[in-house]
Amino acid sequence: MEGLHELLEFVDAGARASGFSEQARGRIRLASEEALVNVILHAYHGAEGPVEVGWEMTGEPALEIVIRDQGADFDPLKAEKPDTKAGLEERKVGGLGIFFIREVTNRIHYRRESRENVLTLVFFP
Amino acid sequence: MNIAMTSEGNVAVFALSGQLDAVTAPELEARLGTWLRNPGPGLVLDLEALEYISSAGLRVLLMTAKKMKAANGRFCLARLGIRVKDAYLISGFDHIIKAFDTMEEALAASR
Repeated sequence: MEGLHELLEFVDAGARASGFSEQARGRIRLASEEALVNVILHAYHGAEGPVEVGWEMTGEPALEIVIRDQGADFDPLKAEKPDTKAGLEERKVGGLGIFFIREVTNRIHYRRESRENVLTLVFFP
Repeated sequence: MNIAMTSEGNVAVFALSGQLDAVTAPELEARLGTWLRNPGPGLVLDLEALEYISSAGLRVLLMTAKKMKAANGRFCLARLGIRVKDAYLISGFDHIIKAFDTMEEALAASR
């Protein structure tokens, strides 16, 4: 998880520069953290590995965040959805990260490009 | 993240500030884990100064809620800020952990 804060500050700078509200910036940070943590846990299985994060404000207009890693094939969009209506005893621990990404992101796209996972998160202002 | 622990009668209050995320959640898990080894009857997390929470932080809250339930204790959250409340509601945690707007209400519910 070393370096995670630095990457999130970089993304937040993009959200701030693009004029997103305080609450929207929180959601952008949330989706970005969950996506990056998934890369660390699932693509690299907790080991070290390169991660590239980029953002741009497109003409749409939208903030487009692209996360690339060279880890194992991992499509977060295939994950199972947690039961958010479950009570305390039935509620399972986990699965929430990808759910958050889906809930707060306006558009998500995943592709495997040669030996990279490429995840694109799009937020509308 | 900072964690400050105080007591209000027999209710333990952990006040969190900063960011509760994948980097800082293990620290909270360890601190609460120590307290949960010999838990009192009530536990309140005061989140007034917590700026942000992610699934890693919510995971610690869920495990704490399960342990407090198993120990027949009371556990709740107090004074969630706008970003924290957003994550709390999206995740459906409002179905499993109570949250109050004031410390008075949270303490009253934990006694």
